[in-house]
Formats: sequence, C-alpha cells, structure tokens
Amino acid sequence: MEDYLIELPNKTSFNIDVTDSALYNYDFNSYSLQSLQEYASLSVVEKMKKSIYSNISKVALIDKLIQQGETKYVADVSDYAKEKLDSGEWVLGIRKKTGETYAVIKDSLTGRNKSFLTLNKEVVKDLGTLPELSAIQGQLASISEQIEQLNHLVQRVEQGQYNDRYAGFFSARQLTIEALSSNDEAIKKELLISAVKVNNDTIGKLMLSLHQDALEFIDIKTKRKDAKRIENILQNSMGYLNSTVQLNLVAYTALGEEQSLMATLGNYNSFIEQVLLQSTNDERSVAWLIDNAYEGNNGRFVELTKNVTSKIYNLMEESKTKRMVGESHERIENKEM
Amino acid sequence: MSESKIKKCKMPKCNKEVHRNKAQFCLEHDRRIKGYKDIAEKGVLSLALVGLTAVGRNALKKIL
Repeated sequence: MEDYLIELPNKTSFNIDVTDSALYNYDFNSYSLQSLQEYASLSVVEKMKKSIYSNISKVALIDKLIQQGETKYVADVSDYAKEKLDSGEWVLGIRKKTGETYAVIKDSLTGRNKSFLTLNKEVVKDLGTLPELSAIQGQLASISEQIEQLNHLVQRVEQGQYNDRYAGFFSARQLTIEALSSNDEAIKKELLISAVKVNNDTIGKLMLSLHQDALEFIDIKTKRKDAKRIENILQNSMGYLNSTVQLNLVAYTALGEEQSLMATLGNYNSFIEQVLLQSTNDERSVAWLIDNAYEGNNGRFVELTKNVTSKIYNLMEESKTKRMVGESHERIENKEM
Repeated sequence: MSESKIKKCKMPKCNKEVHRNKAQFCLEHDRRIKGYKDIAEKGVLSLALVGLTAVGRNALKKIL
C-alpha cells in the first residue's frame, strides 16, 4: 500500500438518497452497511478534491498537468483536456510512488497515465492521510464483508434486557445516515462524532456481555435449555457488535480519520484475539468451544473470526509500515509545483 | 514421543472433537447426556421416595 493511484472523478454522485428504505432496514437479520461505506468513501474523494483545489484552482492544475502531457498537437490544449475530463474519458487522480505524491491525468479507457506532476509540500500536508484512507477502502470493504459473514450465523431473538445495547446500533446508524445526507460540514462532523460516541458505548457494553455469555455458554454445568437461550443472545450480541464496528468504520471514513479508524479495528481485533481466540486452560479457545457446543456440525465461529483477524492484522501492519515510510520521506524535499 | 490423536465425539453422526481430553463426547452432546442423567437421577430419587413412603406406611400399619 506504499504506492497507489486514486482516481478523483469529475462528478461523484455523492448525494445519499434518504428516501431509500433499504438504508433503514429493521428485519433483524443481517444489516448490510455496504451502501453507507460507499457513501463514506465517496466523501473522502470529495474531501481530497476540495483540499487540492483550495491550494490550486482546478484550471491551473489541469494547465500545469497538460504542459507536460502528450496532447501538444491540439490547438487549444486546455479546452481539449477539460472536454476529455468532463466526458469522463480522462480522469484526474492522485498517485503516490516511492514516497512522493503526484497529480495525475489518466486515460480511463486504456488505464495509462497521460501526465503527472509532483504536488508541493503544502498540498500534500493539506491532504493529510486522506489518500491513504481512500487507498485502503478496498481492504475495508473486504473486512466488512468478512464481518458480515459472521452475522449470518445469527438467529435473531430479541431479549428485553439486551435491547438497550442493541438499540445503540439503530441510534448510531440513524446518526450516520443523517450525517452523510447533511450538506453542512459542521453539522455533518457533529453528527458523525455523536455516532462514534454511541457506537463506542454500544461496543463496550456488547463486548462485556459477550465475554460473560460466552463463558456461561461453554460451561458444561449450564443446562441445555439455558445454553440454547444464551446461544441466541451470544449470536445476537456478536451480530450487533460487528454491525456497530462497521458503523464506526463508516463514520471515521467520512470524517477522514485514518488512525482513529485503525484504532477501531485494533480494539475489535484485540477483543476477538484475547477473548474469543485465546486458548483456555484446556488448550481450547472460547471460539472453538462455542463451535463445539453449537448444536449441529456447522459451527464456523473459529474459521470466520480467524479470517477477520488476519485481514485486520494485515491492514494494520501495512498502516504501520506506511507511517514509518512516510516519516522518513518527510525529510526529503518535494519538488515545487 | 507419542503422537496426540484427535478424539472424536462418540455420538453417531457427530463429527466434532471431544471438548476435553478425558471426555467421550463433544460439549453439545456431553451437555445433552448430562441433562438426561439429571432427569434419570430425579426419576430414581422420586421412585425411591415413593417406595420409602409405601414401606413406611406398611410398617406403620403393622405397628398400629
């Protein structure tokens, strides 16, 4: 992930459709948050565009880019380039290679870079971690997919005493939808921060109850009838925990906070590793015992939790390496634009 | 050096491993069997109580 190319399409259909009832799903099965993740990722692209164009106007950037391009046979190069960009034939992008950040004009049909220009220090500083955040969106989507698979194990039976915990998810989801649909940046930020607070509160409560319920579920002294009831609660809590973590990822993506997003993943990863995957006295992990106590042969808790943790681990390792590389490159002067 | 063998649950059609080294069944079936044992124990205890009451009643009749 040290080198990447992010496209900045001319027109991004960023407006969230608040009338889309799929956003407000209450079927108590699995809550797909993929569309929200997509909106959040588009908002990062918008932020990058704003950040670049606040330092240099779009026209000036295009002019500078095409001065170094291959389009010298056209009479009015600027108009030609703008036309191509407007039609979507060409696309502006940000490229990072060997520690340096460039503005790029790319041919969207052939995938070839037509021209590139080193961005100056100020623009790069203003962009912050947004390009990195945008570059990891694919991996985040893959983690979200894995997390959602864990949710498919869930057989939803709502329990009165747990409803306050589960309600946190619906509250935060609504805050996130309202935030993403807001046009005012200050309101958007405030709503997203509120969503993160509710999410973290819910995550903490769910982790604690999951820990206690898991231990009770794998205790042989727990009667079969009680075990069945606890299993439902356990699966339910896991489902809501996963969805709430995903919501936090959406919120931090929309806020453009890569490190906070990594902290959310780190917390979730540590919980799975230390509470569910760590071996007990009998060299068996809680997750293994949950599968073992699960009625039937289809327990996939270990497999799925391991998949999620390995993906998160890879992403976090990449982020760590990237930060180290970034720090060493800060000392190197960038060419002026 | 002895190789550690994977011990499977003895319940027919169950593919799971035993949940403890000394166990014969997986946690699901061990719990189920324990449940049956508890019911059987309760049944035996109730029968014993009924028997004892009957014996006691007969003994009382003889004395009186």
